[in-house]
Amino acid sequence: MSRQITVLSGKGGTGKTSVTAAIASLVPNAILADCDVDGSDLPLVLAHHNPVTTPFIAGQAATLDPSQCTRCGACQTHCRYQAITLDEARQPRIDPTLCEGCGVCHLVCPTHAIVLEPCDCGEWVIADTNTSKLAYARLRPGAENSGRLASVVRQAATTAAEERSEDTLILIDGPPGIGCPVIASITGSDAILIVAEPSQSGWHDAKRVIQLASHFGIDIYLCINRWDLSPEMALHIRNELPDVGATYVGRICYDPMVTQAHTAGQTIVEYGCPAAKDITQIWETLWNHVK
Amino acid sequence: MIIAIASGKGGTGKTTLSTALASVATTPVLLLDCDVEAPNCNIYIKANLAPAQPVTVPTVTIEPLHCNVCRACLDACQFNALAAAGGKIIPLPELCHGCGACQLVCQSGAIAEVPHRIGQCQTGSSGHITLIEGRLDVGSPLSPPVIRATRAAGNAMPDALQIIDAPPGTSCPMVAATHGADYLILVAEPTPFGLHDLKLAIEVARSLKLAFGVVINRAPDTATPLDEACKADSIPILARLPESRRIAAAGAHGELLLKAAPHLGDTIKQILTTILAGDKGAVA
Amino acid sequence: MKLAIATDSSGLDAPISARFGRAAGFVIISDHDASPEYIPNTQSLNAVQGAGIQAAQCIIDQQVDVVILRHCGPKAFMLLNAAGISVLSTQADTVQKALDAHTAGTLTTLESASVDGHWV
Repeated sequence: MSRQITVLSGKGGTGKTSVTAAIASLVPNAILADCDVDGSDLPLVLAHHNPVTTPFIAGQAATLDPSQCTRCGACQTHCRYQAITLDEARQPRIDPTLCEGCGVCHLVCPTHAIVLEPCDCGEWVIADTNTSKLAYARLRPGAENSGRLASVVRQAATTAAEERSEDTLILIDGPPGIGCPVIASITGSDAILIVAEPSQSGWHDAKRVIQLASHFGIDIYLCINRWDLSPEMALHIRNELPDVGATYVGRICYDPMVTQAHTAGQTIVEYGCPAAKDITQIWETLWNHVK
Repeated sequence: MIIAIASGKGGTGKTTLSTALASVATTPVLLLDCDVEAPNCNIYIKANLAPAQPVTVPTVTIEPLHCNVCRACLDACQFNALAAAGGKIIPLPELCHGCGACQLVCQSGAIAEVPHRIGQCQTGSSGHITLIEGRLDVGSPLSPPVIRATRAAGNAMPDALQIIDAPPGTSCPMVAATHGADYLILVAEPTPFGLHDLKLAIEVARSLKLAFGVVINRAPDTATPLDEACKADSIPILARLPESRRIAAAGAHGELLLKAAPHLGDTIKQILTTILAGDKGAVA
Repeated sequence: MKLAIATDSSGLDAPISARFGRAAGFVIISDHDASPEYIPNTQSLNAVQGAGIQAAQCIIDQQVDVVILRHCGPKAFMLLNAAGISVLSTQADTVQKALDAHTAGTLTTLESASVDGHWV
């Protein structure tokens, strides 16, 4: 049976992408999905080719035809997102980065000078890696990240897995935080692996993700990255895990060679960094639980 | 003046820098923690926070006695937050964006708005720093309304210097946190992921027409591709903060940057002085 | 009895869609009608969120009695239930095979959603 694992953190910058890419090297036929669509870094270290790109049109934005506008100001009065301002001549200006695409301005405009048009929010890609497939996306900077694009990437990976006759692991590099993109990346997952940082802020944020995953009833595993930057915090986290319903699967040492590996466009395992041994052990422990 | 601190990539040191800047300000300062999905400023500031104010968004209820199931509300809703089944209109509050479209089109007065809690805002102070922390409830999907509420609380004190700790990324939460700032500091780390994500953040800064500059964190002594990229694009580098295990360990324990590394005091003060003097900023 | 089946294309040999909200369309079959109708589900494509809800609304507006699908999320299930529509799950791979299973009475009635919501 296929399995889906999402890698999360809560706090940004704990090493989700580095760990996901390293595990990809250990499981050559795993299908990878980079659901951190707002800053997608997995493609930088997983060599890929034959990309099939699809535009991502999602939601709408209001646009104004000035020739039809009577400058009544109704649009500005009714907009709840401060997306419309009136200039000195009471001509409305719509800020596309604040526009929610709700259509209220269109509804109140007496001359239909404002219409909603579909938003080009970016694109998503499914590509071949040297041993399998990678799905990722490029969200246009400033675009709405409703989680839908993360969901589209996840579904592209799921579809690719369904096309295979053998059982396949789907490994998802998740976004930071706990909002809708994170929720979209854990839907349908059998387990989440939290990559935690041994710091007060890292543990505070990891606990929020644990709470979110518990809400969805998904098994939760946790590893501590760069544990030796604060062994006391690492131990503290390890001791608290049973109380929050997460299972400890290992720790990774602080390793300055990781940056060199990524600069060379390689995963930690491919490059042979010291951290590779720790990640291999974590993967073996995790897979034992999940399979 | 409003100074926002953002990045493309997470974990570059936004909160470390925001709290450090707040600590060296010589006038009363408002620190807004707009990283509402994972707010961390108070781990460093250690303010006593007053009871939280709930942040709500309006969602709808349908009064069945007035509703004639004409479905005008369904047609107006862009978010599929209303459906018609079993002879009545059914609202779906988790999908509601609180825009008011349904209420506008209802001819029967059957739609009322009720507040639906999605998070909270808390205020507290420590010395000359007043902290306003926004926090999204776990399980609520949308962070921008909590960010907007936090920004509104800050704007209620317009004369103070405001420092905004923004969320990572470059999509709508970051935009909600940084919109309208007088200056944007982008904190970057000199790694391949850091450079890639910084470029995305620069695109947003330009589209929002914000004056901005870069602080490179965990910088080695020698120039990196990230330094070169900034220079090639005429983007001011406000400071280069060094890589240090000792500083990282202190930060892990919730220690303010300048307590762990007082020798960086002049560097941090210089960042603030430069921005307040208004003479440095990339062309937006 | 009017039936709707979530599919990835039209016709009786069309594959059953793995996802209700993102199904390409629905094959609609009435008792008295020999030839099936096909309703595309394209209105979901541009929606920011709530594709399952739109698909459920489409089925409800067709006034079907029974919907046959592979998986159903919680919001779609709640709406179909509110409309009094029976939700049957099938592992069959085509419309015709699902219909045969329905006639033979071997399909499972869902008492609740079979998958998590997508929130998108």
